Amino acid sequence: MKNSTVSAILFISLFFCFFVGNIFAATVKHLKAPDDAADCYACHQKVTPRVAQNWYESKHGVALVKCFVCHGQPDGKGSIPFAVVPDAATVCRKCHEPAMIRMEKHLEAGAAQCYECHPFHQNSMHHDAYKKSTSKKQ
Amino acid sequence: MNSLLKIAKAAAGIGLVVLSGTVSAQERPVVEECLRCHDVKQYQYELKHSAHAFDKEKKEISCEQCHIFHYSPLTSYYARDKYYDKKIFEPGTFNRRKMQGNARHTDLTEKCMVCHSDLRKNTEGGPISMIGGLAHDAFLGKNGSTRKTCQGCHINMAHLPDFDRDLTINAEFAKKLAEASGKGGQENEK
Amino acid sequence: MKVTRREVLKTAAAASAMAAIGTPLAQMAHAADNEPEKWVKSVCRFCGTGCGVMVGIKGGKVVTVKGDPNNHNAGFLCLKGALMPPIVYSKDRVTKPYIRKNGKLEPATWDEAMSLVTRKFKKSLKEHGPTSIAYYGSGQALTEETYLASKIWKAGFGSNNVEGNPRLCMASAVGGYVTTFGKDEPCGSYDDIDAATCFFIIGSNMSECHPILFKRVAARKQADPNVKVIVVDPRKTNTARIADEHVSFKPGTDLAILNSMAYVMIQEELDNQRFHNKYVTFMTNEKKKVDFEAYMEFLEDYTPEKVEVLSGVSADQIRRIALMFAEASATTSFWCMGLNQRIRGVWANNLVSNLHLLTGHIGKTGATPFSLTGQPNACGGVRDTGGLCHLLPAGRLIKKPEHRAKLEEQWGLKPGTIAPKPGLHTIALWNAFSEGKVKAMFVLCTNPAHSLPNVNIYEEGMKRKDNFMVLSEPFMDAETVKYCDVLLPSAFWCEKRGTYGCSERRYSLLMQSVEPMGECRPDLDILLDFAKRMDVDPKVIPFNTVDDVWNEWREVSSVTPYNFMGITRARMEKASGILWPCPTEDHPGTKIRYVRGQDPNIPKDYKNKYHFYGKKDGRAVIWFRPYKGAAEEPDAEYPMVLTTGRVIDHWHTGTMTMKVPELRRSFPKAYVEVNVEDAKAKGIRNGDDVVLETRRDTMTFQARVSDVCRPGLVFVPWYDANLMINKLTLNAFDKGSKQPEYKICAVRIKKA
Repeated sequence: MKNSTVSAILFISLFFCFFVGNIFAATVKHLKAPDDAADCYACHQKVTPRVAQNWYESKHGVALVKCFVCHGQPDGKGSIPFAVVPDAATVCRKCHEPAMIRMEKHLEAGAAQCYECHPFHQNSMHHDAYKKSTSKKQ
Repeated sequence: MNSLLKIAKAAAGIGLVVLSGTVSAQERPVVEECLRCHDVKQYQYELKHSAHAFDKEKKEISCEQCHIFHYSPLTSYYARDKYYDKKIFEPGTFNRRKMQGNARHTDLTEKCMVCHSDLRKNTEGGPISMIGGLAHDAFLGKNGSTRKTCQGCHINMAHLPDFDRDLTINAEFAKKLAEASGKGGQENEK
Repeated sequence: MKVTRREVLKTAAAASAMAAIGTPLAQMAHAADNEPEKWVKSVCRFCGTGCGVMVGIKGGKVVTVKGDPNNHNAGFLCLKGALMPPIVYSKDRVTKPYIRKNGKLEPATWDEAMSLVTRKFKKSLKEHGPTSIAYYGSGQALTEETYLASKIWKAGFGSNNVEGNPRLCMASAVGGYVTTFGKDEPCGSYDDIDAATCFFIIGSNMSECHPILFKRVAARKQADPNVKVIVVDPRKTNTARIADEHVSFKPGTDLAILNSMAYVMIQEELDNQRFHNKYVTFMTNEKKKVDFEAYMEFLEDYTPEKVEVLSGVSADQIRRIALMFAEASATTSFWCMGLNQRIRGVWANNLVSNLHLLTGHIGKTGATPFSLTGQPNACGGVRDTGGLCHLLPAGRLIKKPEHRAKLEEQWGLKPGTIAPKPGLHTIALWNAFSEGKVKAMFVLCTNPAHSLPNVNIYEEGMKRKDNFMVLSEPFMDAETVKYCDVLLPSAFWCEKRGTYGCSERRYSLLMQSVEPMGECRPDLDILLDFAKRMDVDPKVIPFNTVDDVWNEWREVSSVTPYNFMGITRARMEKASGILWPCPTEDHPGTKIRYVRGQDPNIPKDYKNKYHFYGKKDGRAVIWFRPYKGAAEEPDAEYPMVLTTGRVIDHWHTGTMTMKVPELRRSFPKAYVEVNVEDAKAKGIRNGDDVVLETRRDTMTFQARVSDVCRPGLVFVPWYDANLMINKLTLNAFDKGSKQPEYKICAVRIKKA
């Protein structure tokens, strides 16, 4: 049997397992936290350390553009929709519209989403305060 | 649902076990046995300075207490004769970032639970933080849910590669390692 | 068949990732639903940065906001600004008038409410004279509203009791600028940030209080790593993250540090002799003109070694920052409440300007002493239009007969109409109200029952039955609502039209985006109605619309160096803000003041490059301001220092930001920040309850243990209405500016 065929079969079967499993398990659901537990960063520094650290060291981190500004609130009761991958038209546009208009002209119609070239959390600044840490080099 | 997931994972696990032909080894210390094939002196060094150097009875924690143990008398025999020399397991070719990814997809929960049986308490029996309690509830499916395993959140518990030393949560571990290497304790820091 | 374990795992990972994607489809549809039909130009409702915003409207409702690309913020918004829409539609909006009956606020009609207000004010006026009524306004009210209120009181009633919360935030900066330069307001602009090579940030947590300006400073630092940033603050805030030097000092000793920097600059021959010989007067604290030698003698008390003992800052560091400041090609200073809210606030302001005058870091692009304001219209609405008890519009003073006479002529009043005695300043006014000497108070767009220092005593005063307080307020849960006798529903932010003027002398028009909710009315309409009912001469208040008021203000300012004549409504509708002075419609606005060729108040052929026309001799003043400690220094009984301030997520008393779910969730309640060492000594762990006790009151807060505060200092943010730190703060005030010392008081803490 060819290696690629094996991989394909394996992929399909595992995809099925995960997919079905996830549908029944209602995928990932953010926990409900009491008000005074912590803000997003305090928890996510522990449970998703790399993402949290990357944000902290990014321009958004230095300027304190906090998690909820782009991702909304996990309970869905926030003022913008909760999304793991924020919708550029709703969120980025609030601050970056001039750049988005420039890029839309520059790139062809239907071009990539902003974050494919500008990973939001990885946009480091220079200087010690926001140096690019080794955790981001790959 | 969850059981399906478990079956899939179990199937993958069984495959691995068959491939490597597991027999338990009793005669030699496990670490030594691992080191025959896996050139992981650096990892052993990091482990010594980690929070997981000792268990609560002050006994040294060894590889198989966390990792999936596999042993084959055949490979062990060849390893003794340096059949597996560094050409195959050259430490320089290890991609630790990729290895971390692999480790995260191995469910070590049962191994962790041997010591951390009560997710509301630390190993000394003291209470854990509110944030920790909430995260564990999500892990247990009591409040929200997550696909994460223990090591999905608790990264760098026993080893700390260079690229993770900047992380705020690893500050203490990184400091210990830096102090140790300052004292000349570092063997093959890379 | 060769399938390695790794391949299995890789495939498994890819499969699970695939399965996870696809959740936000429904939410994307939701986003498309809210695509605005039109965008209306406005200004952010929060801090003094004054960022331009575009309000997205759909179906007559505000659905979103975005940054105005043509304003100074170039399209960027901070987290508060980006999340404004939910505030407008809060369920806590006041939508009809209320009258307090038997201790409870009962709904009423506009006519009933306004008739009662009129009756009360007329009675006070008749029985106790003009000093028994007062207006207490806000740096958040529109320029036109403050100008109108000030005119109704000063010209209509002959009462100078016109005050407002800017007394609590900007009075020392006004005092500082006026004593140093002769005229209020900064001489530079935000554009200086892009050209500065050194930033001296003192008494300001810019990163959390003026985020968009901080972003601009950080971007400048990123573009050129040689740019230096000095942050002088006893707390190691987020602002200090980009600092080359963070100077942590014993709270209150900053005056000595500033003098010591001057000492080092002179010792190192870094003063600009050519500049200060020609453009500076040296003046002692007793207002005696002296020479440079006398200044050097004065500074002998402030050698870095002496100041090290006093301030806890190493002599080395003082030398380093002095050199950094003086050697840079262009240094811009920023300061805010850390210097202003002090009993020596004016002096502290003078001392920063001293450094600029000594080194000549002024009047050049990138070099300016820049005071930041806390409110969106404190500069524009209150300082410029004279909305305080000692001021008249355009920088004129009540105590000067020639200023009164000129304004009376402009306003078409009988000579002597404006009372010659300044009114009561904020603390004196609220003291008088608490004592029942001021009988009727009109409070507009501010929340004094939360924001006054040592607020317990003023709350007692507000509860009195023999005085009367009418409050115009958009939110039912504001603390002051509990005490007012009449509550008027005011239109909020985007529901009205008018002008905001931010820290950099930039005036921008807020266009009306939506109709006022319920029975709400713009404050300007309320004031016009009030004036009419109070029988103020219609010739004194000849206005129908907000634009009428603006046009009169332009006329009034046109004979002064403030000159707004060129800032017409037509221009404001097109442009996103214009900086005054702007004398003609073709004038682009002024970025740098006091410099020939830049400032339209200086003739093009004037002999010198600089002209500080606020002073008779055209010279700015270097003041000899000695070090003086705080009003309440820590002692054996109360050994620590309490300071207060903001967090980025909340603004002022939280009546607005608490309406945004994300912001409320981010900081649901006030806390106390304790240094690790202090916490260790007192056995306090993160999250423990800690009791704070001052000579005024005792309160309990949750602890956040960190290294932000220096040892001996604790910090509590002031936004929380349930945990009002102002019950603990001190109402001692600066003798010059009458601004209270919120930033320092003695406290003791213990684990609850």
